[in-house]
Amino acid sequence: MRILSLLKRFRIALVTCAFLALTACGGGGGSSDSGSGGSGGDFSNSGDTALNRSLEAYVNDVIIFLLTNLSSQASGLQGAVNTFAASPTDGNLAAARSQWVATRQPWERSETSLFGPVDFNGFDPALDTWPVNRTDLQNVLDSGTSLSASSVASFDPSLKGFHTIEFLLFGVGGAKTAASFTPREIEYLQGAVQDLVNVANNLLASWTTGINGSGPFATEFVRAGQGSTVFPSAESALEEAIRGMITIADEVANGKIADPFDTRNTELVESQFSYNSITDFTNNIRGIQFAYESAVSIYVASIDPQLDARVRTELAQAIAALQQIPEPFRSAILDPSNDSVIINAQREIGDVQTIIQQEVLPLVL
Amino acid sequence: MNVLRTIPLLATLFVLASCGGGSSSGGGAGDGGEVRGDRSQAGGATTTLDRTTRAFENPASNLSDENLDRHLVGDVDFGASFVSAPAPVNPGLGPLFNNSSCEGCHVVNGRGLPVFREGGLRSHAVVRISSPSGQPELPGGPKDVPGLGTQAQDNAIFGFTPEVTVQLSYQTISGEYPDGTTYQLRKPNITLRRAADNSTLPSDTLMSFRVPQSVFGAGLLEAIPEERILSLSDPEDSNGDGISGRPNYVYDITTNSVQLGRFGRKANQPNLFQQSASAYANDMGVGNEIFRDHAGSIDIPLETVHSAEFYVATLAVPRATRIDEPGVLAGENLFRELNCSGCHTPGHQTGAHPLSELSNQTIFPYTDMLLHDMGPQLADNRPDFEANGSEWRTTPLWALGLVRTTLGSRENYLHDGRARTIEEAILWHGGEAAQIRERFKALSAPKREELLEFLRSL
Repeated sequence: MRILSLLKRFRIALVTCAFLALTACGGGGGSSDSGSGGSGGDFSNSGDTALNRSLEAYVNDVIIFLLTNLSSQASGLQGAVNTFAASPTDGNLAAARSQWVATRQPWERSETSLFGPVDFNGFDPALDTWPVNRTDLQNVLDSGTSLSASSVASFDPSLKGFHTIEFLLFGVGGAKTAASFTPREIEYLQGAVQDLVNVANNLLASWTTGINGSGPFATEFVRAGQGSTVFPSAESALEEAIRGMITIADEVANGKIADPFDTRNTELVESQFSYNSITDFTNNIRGIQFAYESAVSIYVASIDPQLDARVRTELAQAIAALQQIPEPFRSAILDPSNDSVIINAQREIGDVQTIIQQEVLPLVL
Repeated sequence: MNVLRTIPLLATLFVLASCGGGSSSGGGAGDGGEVRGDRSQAGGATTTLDRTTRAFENPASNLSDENLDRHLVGDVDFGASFVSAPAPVNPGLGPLFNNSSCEGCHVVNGRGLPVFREGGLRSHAVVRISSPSGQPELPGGPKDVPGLGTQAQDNAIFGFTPEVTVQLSYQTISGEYPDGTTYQLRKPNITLRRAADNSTLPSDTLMSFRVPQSVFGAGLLEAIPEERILSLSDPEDSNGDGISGRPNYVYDITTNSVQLGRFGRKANQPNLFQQSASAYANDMGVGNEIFRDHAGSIDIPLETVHSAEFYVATLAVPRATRIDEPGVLAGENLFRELNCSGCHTPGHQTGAHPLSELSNQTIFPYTDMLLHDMGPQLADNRPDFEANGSEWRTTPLWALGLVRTTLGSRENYLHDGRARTIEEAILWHGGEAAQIRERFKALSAPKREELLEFLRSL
């Protein structure tokens, strides 16, 4: 279950807008980073209908594109962490934190497409388990347990992945400084990042080349209805993509925002250690926008161009509404003067969810 | 899960009484009478149209607003990943465990994988253990292995040693259809050693290797009247169809009484609540008032157990598809002609249930909820209450076609996941189902495919 997963898997937001400019993360900032698509893969099917082209675009220009970026950014994170390990200065720590944020972006945008290998190969928990097992993490640090990459790889998922790395890099409240790092924390960080790189590479490979003797999952998707046993029809594959959009829109509006806002409980705000939720929410919605405009729109526009235009408008309005909420979100929810913009953002995201569920989804059922 | 309820679409509703009907050759284990109806609505009014990888995560389509709210709270509990105490969120994992969350094993609420300590998956499979003699954990139930209890935990929080290490290997078995088509099956072999010193367990230890089952529809199964299940039983095979069908009777902790078993591979749990409480304690080491963890502690209130139970009980069942396609219809007829339906009873009418949404629903789970001897190849030789070492509860077949969708290349079937395809699962059937398996093997390849196509449409 991913919706309302706020309490189990906080997603971490971007620290500064500067990272939105990373071209490898699905494009540049603003609305221009959606709809342009990528060129991550070259999987094709034998059909030339709008539906078939939509599926091809979804696999190649959305999923493989984002997962390629994830893999690339994870390698960048490893480089930044190794630089920090060699020279643990505050400047190098800031660079490593920035790269952690950059690595999160393609992952968060891919969350509209969390199905298949990310589930049945356990890549999602390996990358994104929350909460961090802080008690065990401290016990590991205090012990003489090996922290080599292979050792960390054998740890429980609650002791590695994005949020363990985040905890090590930022500390509670983001208060960590370079001088406060122990040698074992740096060693742990390096092992955890190596594991993250390995998992990200395997996730990408599971779509593109196949792993452990299985074929590329991309083939199942583009060949939906043309021999795939996972997706018996092309419509069922596009349904998968569309329901993914509904799921993440709902999660942002009714989980990530609603839970802390309704209770005014800052403990429920996502991003425990880096506190950058608005950008995080925005990236989730941008992930919908990217998948829609790059792929799903091909099919929708072929049937109902006006609906296609309305979906695009709703998405743009939701993103704009989110950006009206002042950062940090944990402070915003405590100031009643922000209530109207928060409620408006929920409503706009709800409109996205509604139009996709009530008007786009029926096109493939 | 999906928060929003599925939008009903009239176009998908097929009222094909004939598909759910038809005379049953051979009948069931007993003579319980056949329930007819629109079998595409597999979960009655709870049914969802969703046939994607998220198909098992939808709330029942007929939930009231109030119960939908409860369902969503339960979703958070079902997904909660536990960590070592103390912790600000979800403390209480372990010290010994198999996995750290409910959804950690039940992949997108479906079945799990035959894996032990595999990366992000942790351990999905568990090994139930018991001794042939000694004190039972619960009256009439399996007897503890001294120091280990009745389930072997192969994970532990830092600073603790798991109970066991598990080695899983497979033996390839080759076979051939009468038409000359060959096939290969894989038979699992489990080796348990104590993790502390790598020693073996007592030689008379009984072991049963289990893969988690899907959880959707469990509330509806709980709502099938006991009289209905018993009416299907035929312990002495009085109708001479080679199929018996026995109820299991198990200990109900809450009422301190013996009740009909419904859940678990051997129907060794009387209800969803006890099943849930046991899973928290045994699978995750999260102690509760019903079952303590290995440290003897209580980590969650019963409210949390009830919340997860409610979530599971109120999940939607995915619709069956393509019920009017000729190939599927032909396969459905074969399903009856071969008497697969003798145990996999297609339909039931639920009775009164505390949740009105689950009451009086016509459902098509394809199970009789009874124990059947499945032969020596599938036997775990580990009795569980009144179930003997060869008996297993008939597994529901609803949404069987979505196993492939949710698990992709890692699809698996049967209690230990040994079958890699539905076809392999059929070929493993023995005991009371041996004759039916042979009838299946004697079919032509196109006919066999028709049966499989029907099963994939569920």
